[in-house]
Amino acid sequence: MKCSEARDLILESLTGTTPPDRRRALLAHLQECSSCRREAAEKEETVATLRAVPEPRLQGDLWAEFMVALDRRIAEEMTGWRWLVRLLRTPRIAWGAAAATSVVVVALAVILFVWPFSQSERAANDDAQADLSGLVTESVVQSIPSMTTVLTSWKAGLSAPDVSYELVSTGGR
Amino acid sequence: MDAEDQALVQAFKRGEESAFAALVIKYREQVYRIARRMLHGHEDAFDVAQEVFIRVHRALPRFAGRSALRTWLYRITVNLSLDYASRGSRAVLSGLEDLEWTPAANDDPVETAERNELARTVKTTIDALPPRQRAMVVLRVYQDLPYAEIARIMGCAEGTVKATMFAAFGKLRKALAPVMETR
Ligand SMILES: [Zn+2]
Repeated sequence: MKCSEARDLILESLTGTTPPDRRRALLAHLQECSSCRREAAEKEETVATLRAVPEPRLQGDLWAEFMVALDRRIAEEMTGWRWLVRLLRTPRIAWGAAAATSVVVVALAVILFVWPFSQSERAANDDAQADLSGLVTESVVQSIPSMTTVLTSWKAGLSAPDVSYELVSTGGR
Repeated sequence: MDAEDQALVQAFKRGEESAFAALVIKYREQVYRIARRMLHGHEDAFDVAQEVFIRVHRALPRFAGRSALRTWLYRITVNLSLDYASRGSRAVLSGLEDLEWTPAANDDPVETAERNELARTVKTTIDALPPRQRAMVVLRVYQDLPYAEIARIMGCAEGTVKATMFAAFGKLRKALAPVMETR
């Protein structure tokens, strides 16, 4: 082992762990090299002096104070949307949130798309006037006698994508 | 990552706040000690330790566990302490450095005075180091961390840690020579 390598290892082995084989190699070098031995003694004394100062410690009740202060600050932070974000991020709740969201999406889809179509389908297939009479007065129904016709042509436009715009518009004229 | 830490992080992510309290109790002392060795007084170290855990609470839901929790926590501690140190701590500004730790009740007063004198010298010596050198010395000498972990905490190469430690110890030896002779 070279002196430069030994100097590196001296500090490492004095302040923490060194693999056993490296440590053995260092000890072997120190037995032969007086200058590295002196260096090791000096470093050892320095480390010992640094470590002679006891670790700073908080008294028991100061830790209680620490926990209370921390709780308070976290509670202050966790208001409003941050709390919601934290809630939605927790996997257990996130699954629930995802499930609830999909239920809402499906319900909206039913309300927006499926329901109106089934209504118009029924209106077209059955007697439209009889269907509507439950919702509007007789006189209003009388004033829109062409409802069935309107619905039928509207449906024809939607459900017949192979009919070009040209044909539909010229047919209407 | 430490299996216990991993379990606590997972529990916290599931929404168990008690897991966070357990993490704080596990690490608060080490976090405080690092900050206390890096800074001047109890107040600053207390503030830094609080801030460390506030940030951990904020960021833990996104903690991916690529590094050990301890490494991440100490990295936050060191960075905040460096930040505090650069701003000029309250203790320094007010001239109220509380250098002594609380001595045990039945201590011999002469011994206590001597120990406080030693503590003062060591503290002044460590404080005189450039901040990043100071951080590495604290992590190595007082936290017993391997060079590789110190490198991850400091965000530098392991070789840089070794070289910095070597340079720092040169200064420490010179500065501590008077107390070492009397010991
Ligand atoms: Zn040598």
